[in-house]
Amino acid sequence: MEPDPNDSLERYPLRSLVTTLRTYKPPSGPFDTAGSWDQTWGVYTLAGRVATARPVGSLTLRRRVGGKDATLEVAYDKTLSGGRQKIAATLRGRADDPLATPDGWTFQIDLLDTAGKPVPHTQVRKRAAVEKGTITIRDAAETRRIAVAGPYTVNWCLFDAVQRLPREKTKPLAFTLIDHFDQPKPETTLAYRKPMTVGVAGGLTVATHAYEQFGRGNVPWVYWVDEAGRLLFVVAGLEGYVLRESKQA
Amino acid sequence: MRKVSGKRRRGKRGRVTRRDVLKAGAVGLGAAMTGCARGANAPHAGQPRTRPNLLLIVCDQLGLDAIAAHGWPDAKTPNLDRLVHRGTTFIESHSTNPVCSPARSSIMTGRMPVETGVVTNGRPIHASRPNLGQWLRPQGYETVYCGKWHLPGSYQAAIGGFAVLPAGAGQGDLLDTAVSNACAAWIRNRPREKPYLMVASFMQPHDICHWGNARGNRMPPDLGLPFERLRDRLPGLPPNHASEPEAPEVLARHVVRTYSEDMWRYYLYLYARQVEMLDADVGRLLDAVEAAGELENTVIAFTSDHGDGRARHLHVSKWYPYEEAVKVPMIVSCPGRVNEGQRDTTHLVSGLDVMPTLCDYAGVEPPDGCGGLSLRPLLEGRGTPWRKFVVSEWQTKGRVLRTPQYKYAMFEGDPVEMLFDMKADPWEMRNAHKDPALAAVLARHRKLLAEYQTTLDVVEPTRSAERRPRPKPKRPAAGT
Repeated sequence: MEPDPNDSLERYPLRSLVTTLRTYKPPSGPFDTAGSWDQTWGVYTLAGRVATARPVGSLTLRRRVGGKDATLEVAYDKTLSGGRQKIAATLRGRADDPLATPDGWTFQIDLLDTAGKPVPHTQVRKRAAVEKGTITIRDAAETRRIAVAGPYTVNWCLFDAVQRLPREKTKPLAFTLIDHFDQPKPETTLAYRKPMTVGVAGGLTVATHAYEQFGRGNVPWVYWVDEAGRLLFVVAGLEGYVLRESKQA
Repeated sequence: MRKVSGKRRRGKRGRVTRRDVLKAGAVGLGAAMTGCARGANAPHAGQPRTRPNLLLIVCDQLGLDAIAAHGWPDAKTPNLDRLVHRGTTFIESHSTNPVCSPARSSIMTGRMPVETGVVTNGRPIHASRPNLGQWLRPQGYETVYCGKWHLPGSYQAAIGGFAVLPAGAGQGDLLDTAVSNACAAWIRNRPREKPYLMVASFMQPHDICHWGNARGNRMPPDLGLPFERLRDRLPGLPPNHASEPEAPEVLARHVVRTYSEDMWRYYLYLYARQVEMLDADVGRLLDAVEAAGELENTVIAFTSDHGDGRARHLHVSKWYPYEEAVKVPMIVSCPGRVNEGQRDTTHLVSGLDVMPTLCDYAGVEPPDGCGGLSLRPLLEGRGTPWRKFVVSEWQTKGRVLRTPQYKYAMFEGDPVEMLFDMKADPWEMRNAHKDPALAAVLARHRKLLAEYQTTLDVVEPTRSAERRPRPKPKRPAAGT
């Protein structure tokens, strides 16, 4: 059997998604990544050599631009052993920020049992505000302050930001990643990697540009955007994302 | 080799026997009579009337020295360092068996794996051995479990003795944040009528198994470094990287010869990042305890089931008797109760000691036959006689006996034994089992191990849930 061209060092770690890509039909046509849009990715578990055959959840981002500002709404829903996890967040920031850096956000995490009922005492509801290099995260019981020197952003904001980055070698962006909305992970960098042709359904290929992200507290993440900038795939550690729907709002 | 029985062979509760002392690894009656052994836990002077909360954080595959505060320069672990500086850390801390389920069975029961029936992965704890939750819940503790269990299921919706927070399943990258969020929220929001025992069980840095072993290997397919920009950030290799001391044959199976130097260093890079992921989730729990205003009323114990090869002895993963697999963190913190900033480099401690230590702080005797010692006297700076050796099992037929200076390891049926002088050879690069000058040392360690084995209350291994025969396809009933 011929080796799958997606399974090579050159395209690493695309090999994690080889099975999914064999039946994948990418979107086509123009797309304004700087405008308002809705996108949904299937979420895959990559614990084995390749992704689970079916997605274990979904991530939807709704970007809305108003003047110089943009709002990103996040809806993440994943089936767990013995229940479900639902995350909802709203992040606000400048529309033209290269990292889609939010200057304030709210997030809520709900843990549901198999019957869909909330697991008692486990809901997380927090809000964050940023002022003079300090992120203040509050909930009913706690106020936590995180000092950030220099640029920062939140993990899923990068799914938005990467769609508007130059598709060529430039100086890597250096920042503090606020992972999962409240975990600071300094010394993170995001850089253009290279153009990459990816095999998809029917023996076709799609031209992509890959970006790589390294930093403290995360294994390397790789993003692939198409020629229009749409974020098609992400391999973020052991979690994979594959774009399912993408439409202009 | 050992008599197998399901019955307790210990004398009347509280009666200290020679067998007890041997099992505790002490050489004299003194240790067993101090109140730290076998659960003779009289209330301590000055003990607050309120019983503290107990937060046990268990992680997976974290070696003792894979924390910045323990000297590893390649990972930044501010939260684990915070725990180390705020409490007492034990440097001579040993897993009872460097693989998941057996080690976890000891942490949860205070007994050796051969006594819990969990001699390999995926087995349940023997019904006669109560776990921490089953022991403390009737004593008035609210008992909650979240995360990896692996006794037998990796994740179970129901665990005896505990209410389970269903935060998911899978690997650390997919799970640990949900575990820390659920546990942190529970700590802040829970009703306060009772003290709690919470076990927060994280998967990281076990995710390294999905890069570095045969199954599910996500390392680059052609032995190169996949990210050139990482080249100047890769950790260096350890001094014993290529060391292959004479060893029982079974160890040879775990030697990895196919990695290039780039791959070994990339492996270490990934492991360091996974340790940092764990650190972030531990931080969320510590913040929650602080936010709940219960820092000085919560005993936080942190440990791991086993370590990881980390490119030492050409190894990845675990299952073998070297320090990188057997040595694990054991950190206990509770400002005002536990000495802060204390680094204990002399006392030999074990996963067995978790159960009696938490019972001690709860004011409850540990279960009869518990083989561990309460760390409480050490944590509070009170002198106490202590065990002279600790024992670990490995790969069912292997045993390790560690004394302050030497490590002795054997594998039943293999003529090659291992003896390391841990002071002269801390990286375990020279197996001295044939050294005539150490013949008496070898004989003494053999004897200690043989005597220790006779003290164990061994049970039949419980039934493994991980190798079930495939169910046969159902045939349609006649007439349908």
